[in-house]
Amino acid sequence: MKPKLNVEIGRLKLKNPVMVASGTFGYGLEFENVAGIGALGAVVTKTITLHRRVGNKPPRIAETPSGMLNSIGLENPGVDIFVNEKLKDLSKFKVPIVVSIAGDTVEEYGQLAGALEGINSIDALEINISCPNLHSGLLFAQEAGTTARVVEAVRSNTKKTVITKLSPNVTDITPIARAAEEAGSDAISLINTLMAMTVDIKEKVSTLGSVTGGLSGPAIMPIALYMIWRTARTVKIPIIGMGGIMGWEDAVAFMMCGASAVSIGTANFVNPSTAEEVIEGMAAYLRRHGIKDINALVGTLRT
Amino acid sequence: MLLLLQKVFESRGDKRSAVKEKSLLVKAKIIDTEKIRKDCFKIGLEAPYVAKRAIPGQFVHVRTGNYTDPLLRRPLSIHRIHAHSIDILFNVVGKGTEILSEKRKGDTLDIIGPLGNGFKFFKSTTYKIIVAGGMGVAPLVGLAEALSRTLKGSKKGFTVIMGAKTKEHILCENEFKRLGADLHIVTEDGSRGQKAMATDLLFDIIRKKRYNLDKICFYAAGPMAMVRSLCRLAEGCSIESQVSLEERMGCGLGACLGCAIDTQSGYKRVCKDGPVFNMCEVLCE
Ligand SMILES: Cc1cc2nc3c(=O)[nH]c(=O)nc-3n(C[C@H](O)[C@H](O)[C@H](O)COP(=O)(O)OP(=O)(O)OC[C@H]3O[C@@H](n4cnc5c(N)ncnc54)[C@H](O)[C@@H]3O)c2cc1C
Ligand SMILES: Cc1cc2nc3c(=O)[nH]c(=O)nc-3n(C[C@H](O)[C@H](O)[C@H](O)COP(=O)(O)O)c2cc1C
Ligand code: FES
Repeated sequence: MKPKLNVEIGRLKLKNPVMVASGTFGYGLEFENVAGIGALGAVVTKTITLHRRVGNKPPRIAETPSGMLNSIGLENPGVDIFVNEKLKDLSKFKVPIVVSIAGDTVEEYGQLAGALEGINSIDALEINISCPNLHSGLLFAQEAGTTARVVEAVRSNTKKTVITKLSPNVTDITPIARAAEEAGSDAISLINTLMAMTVDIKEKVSTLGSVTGGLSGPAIMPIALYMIWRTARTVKIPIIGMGGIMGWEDAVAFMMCGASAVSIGTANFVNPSTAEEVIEGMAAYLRRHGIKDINALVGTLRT
Repeated sequence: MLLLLQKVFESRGDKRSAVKEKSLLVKAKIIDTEKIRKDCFKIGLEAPYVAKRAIPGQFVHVRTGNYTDPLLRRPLSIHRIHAHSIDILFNVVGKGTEILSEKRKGDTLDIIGPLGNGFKFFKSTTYKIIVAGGMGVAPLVGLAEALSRTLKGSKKGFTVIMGAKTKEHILCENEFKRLGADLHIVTEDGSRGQKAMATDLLFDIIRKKRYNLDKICFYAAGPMAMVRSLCRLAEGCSIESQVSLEERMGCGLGACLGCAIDTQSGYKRVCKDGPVFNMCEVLCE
């Protein structure tokens, strides 16, 4: 018996629930020689903005125990080059494409959604509201009100599936998840990285050029599981879970906590075959346990 | 019938190897390990496809352990390229390289490579000078081997200037000698050769031999201080001069933008746009 792996996220139909997370897989092509891109449930591209961004001052990466910090700063070529070059390259892999977008203002999110609306090769938009909001110093995803406004701006400019990516840097994730749902988001993805830093005591400086960064990797998985579990009990829309997934066992745990799909991030750097191995591992798990459809696994945590 | 079956298997095998050949993700068998001195090791890796494709100056991205700490891969230059294998040469500086140093012959190493651009060769009349500081020597041996092959038959030689902390830290002296390089060694403590930095000696040589700056080409790798002073010198010289740079890496594939360094033309990725950069690209400050 071959278990059914298909899942649906809004109107997005995936052949399996395993995607690769924004910023960890570039625009796809970079992994051409190390990963089977066609096998993936979907590719989420590096966050793009309306205009080109040069990114933060190096060093941009630091390793931590079972994790890493990054402070890339949303370096990207801007929407035009993305559409005319990167997207064309990625389209040839025949894999669903989720485009991650960010803006400095609510209006910019709306404009970006509008600019991408007519492009058929894009299957869904992921709203990255974990990027710094230049106006108040807060992230859009740190307030229910701003979260709702961004989602509304995107929703009113697109018919594509809209996924809202939330930040774990909040006191309570539930009102924010609810705000995204009520504003018309088709799904929620979480978690983005946790704000963090490390110090070089010899030089008395942060190990990152921009002082602070975002923590990812296995170190954050327990936090991610908790946030997904909380969110799953709050909203009805599907959740795409991520944060430290290194293998199929981790992915199964995310789904038990209520994730309908999962995303592989930092693990792509460590083992570029992780996503494929997770797909195979989960299929084997379902077979062993006589589960016919992967959707039956979602939210099965006994409490 | 048997023959037919064999044919089928063979063609299948071919197909599989074709796929394998395309992938840069390789499980390489360790065929040799050597302790060069305290905290410095050489590992020989059976990796025919990497060897076939590699050019000097490229690197491999090495997973040192099977667990999540250390998490990230470690970038290490391809030290020498043989017919079916490559060598890496490294100093133990932290967790990852320490684990690597404990590997034994017969173990397999999970590597991605060859990655990065590698050194460019120009069929030009410039005189080639290799400048190696400390562990910067690692990619420059492979480069010297390729260089001596291209110079074979011509009467031209090349110069190697090597700087090390002490005489114990001098590496690959014999390799350069065997290639017939005009080798000069300096140490920071004067325990071998002049007590000087590699770049000091370089300035001396250029002055003494009255080299015309625009007729020489540098290939360099080493500490940033050395690289910067070399780049200042190279400002007026041949645009062919190249240097290998280092930065912490995530993916090694050009995807994460984690390895950015600032250059004359903005941020560049060490793993993809480099690790070898034109010297005129490098910021001297
Ligand atoms: C293109 C390239 C080629 C290199 N070739 C060689 C070589 O041939 N031989 C050799 O001995 N070393 C080489 N290095 C440096 C080597 O990558 C580091 O010494 C190694 O990553 C240290 O790992 P660690 O766990 O022992 O140290 P730790 O300090 O514990 O490492 C912590 C983190 O910082 C990173 N890091 C530390 N030092 C460096 C560095 N100098 N450059 C980049 N990342 C660093 C590590 O990769 C890791 O992510 C090269 C670096 C680059 C970028
Ligand atoms: C180097 C790096 C770059 C990232 N860039 C982005 C980005 O551009 N947009 C985004 O929404 N998330 C970005 N992320 C966050 C990841 O998509 C993911 O949410 C997070 O890393 C947690 O998953 P992980 O622990 O599996 O990596 C980035 C993460 C890393 C490590
Ligand atoms: S290490 Fe990821 S882009 Fe260079």
